[in-house]
Amino acid sequence: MKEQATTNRRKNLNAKDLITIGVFAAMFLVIFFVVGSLASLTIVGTIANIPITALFTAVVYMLVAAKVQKRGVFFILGIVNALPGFMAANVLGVIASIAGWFIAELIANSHHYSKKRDLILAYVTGSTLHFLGFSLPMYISNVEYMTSRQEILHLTDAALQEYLQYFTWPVYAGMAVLTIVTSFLGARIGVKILKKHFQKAGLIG
Amino acid sequence: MTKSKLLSLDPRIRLLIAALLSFSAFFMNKAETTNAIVLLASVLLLTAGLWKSCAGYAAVYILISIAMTGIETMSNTTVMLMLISISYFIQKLMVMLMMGSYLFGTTSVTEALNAMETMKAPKTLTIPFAVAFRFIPSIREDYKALQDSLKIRKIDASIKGFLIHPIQTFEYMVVPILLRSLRTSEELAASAMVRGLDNDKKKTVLYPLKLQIKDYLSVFFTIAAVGVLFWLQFK
Repeated sequence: MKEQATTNRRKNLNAKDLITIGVFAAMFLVIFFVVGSLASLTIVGTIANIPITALFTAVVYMLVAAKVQKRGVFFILGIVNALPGFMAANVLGVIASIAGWFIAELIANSHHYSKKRDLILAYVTGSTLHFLGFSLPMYISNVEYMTSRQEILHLTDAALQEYLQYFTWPVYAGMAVLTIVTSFLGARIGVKILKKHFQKAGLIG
Repeated sequence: MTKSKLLSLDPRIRLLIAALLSFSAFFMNKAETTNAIVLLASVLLLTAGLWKSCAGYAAVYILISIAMTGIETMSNTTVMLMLISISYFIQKLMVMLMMGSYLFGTTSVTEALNAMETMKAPKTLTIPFAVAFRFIPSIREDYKALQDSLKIRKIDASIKGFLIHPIQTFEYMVVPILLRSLRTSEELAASAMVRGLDNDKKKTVLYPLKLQIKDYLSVFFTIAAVGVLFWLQFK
């Protein structure tokens, strides 16, 4: 009975792990907002915001997953990733995105966070589902979505028209593919950075 | 050093009011309702004695609002869209930032965790969020120290450098901070373990939280004000 409790404690996230996740969630948010704001300076960057940020935030996911190696890391970071979506009042997008990160969590935990391949696949899946879920409301009803937010975004009619031409299904599919590519690259670079700086220093296993 | 507070509320109530205002701010898109919610947030900061933060945020908000009035006259739609998206982003963030500094300025991490424990919130979510929000200001300090260190080594860590060599600059900037964060997280965890954060048993509380009349009145006033704003927004 006591042994069972000890094993559970080892498998479940303890306070130390939660603090590690918290510290890196802060790091994630800083990278997310800095890169996201820089990308938003252009229209293409605004449309491709999720694929671009996915490239840079991957290292945080990889580091926390490698450090903590317990069930829940991807899901908690995924919730942190999805929450800024409330800034665009995109409630459905946030819910869909959290569901996507839950699937990513299942993949990452399939071998208890021990295989790099799982972590990369989980990150690619999570990021792609995050993009697909989060952006779907915008693409399903692109005209409605933007016109209903025309006032929030202070868009003029001409600007709105220019904006709408980017919200088409081929763009949606293209951005999804781009997210797969950038998240994969980001995760690979993240793993390399971990190997180069953290593993050699003995900071992670 | 203690700040001169006009109104000291229960941490649960502070959290509720901050959440209520930040959430409502996302739905306010008319000029008068947006201004009103920023005003409400400013009053809250003033009651907590945080007048410096209040003045700073209010000044930025007013400047952006003034700049936005002339933006529709611009002929270049691409530049206009760019400026709009930046200013929209900052304006939307304003109430959230104000509420963030309200919570940071008035609530210690121990107080926040005590409040969340009293509310029976799951530890898996409360601890990462409490730590994350407390840790963001430290990243800024670490970044300043890092910039000096990069300057000594003649490494260009500016936006220009980032645009020319994004991955390399990212590595130079992020890896030292990540390494430092790893150390900080270990120190924090050790400190938390010593304080018994990992213990599943019910903790004894030195100052039990109890709601007072001023707490009920503050919540009532906030809900009423937010209700009026929603009515004005969607009537």
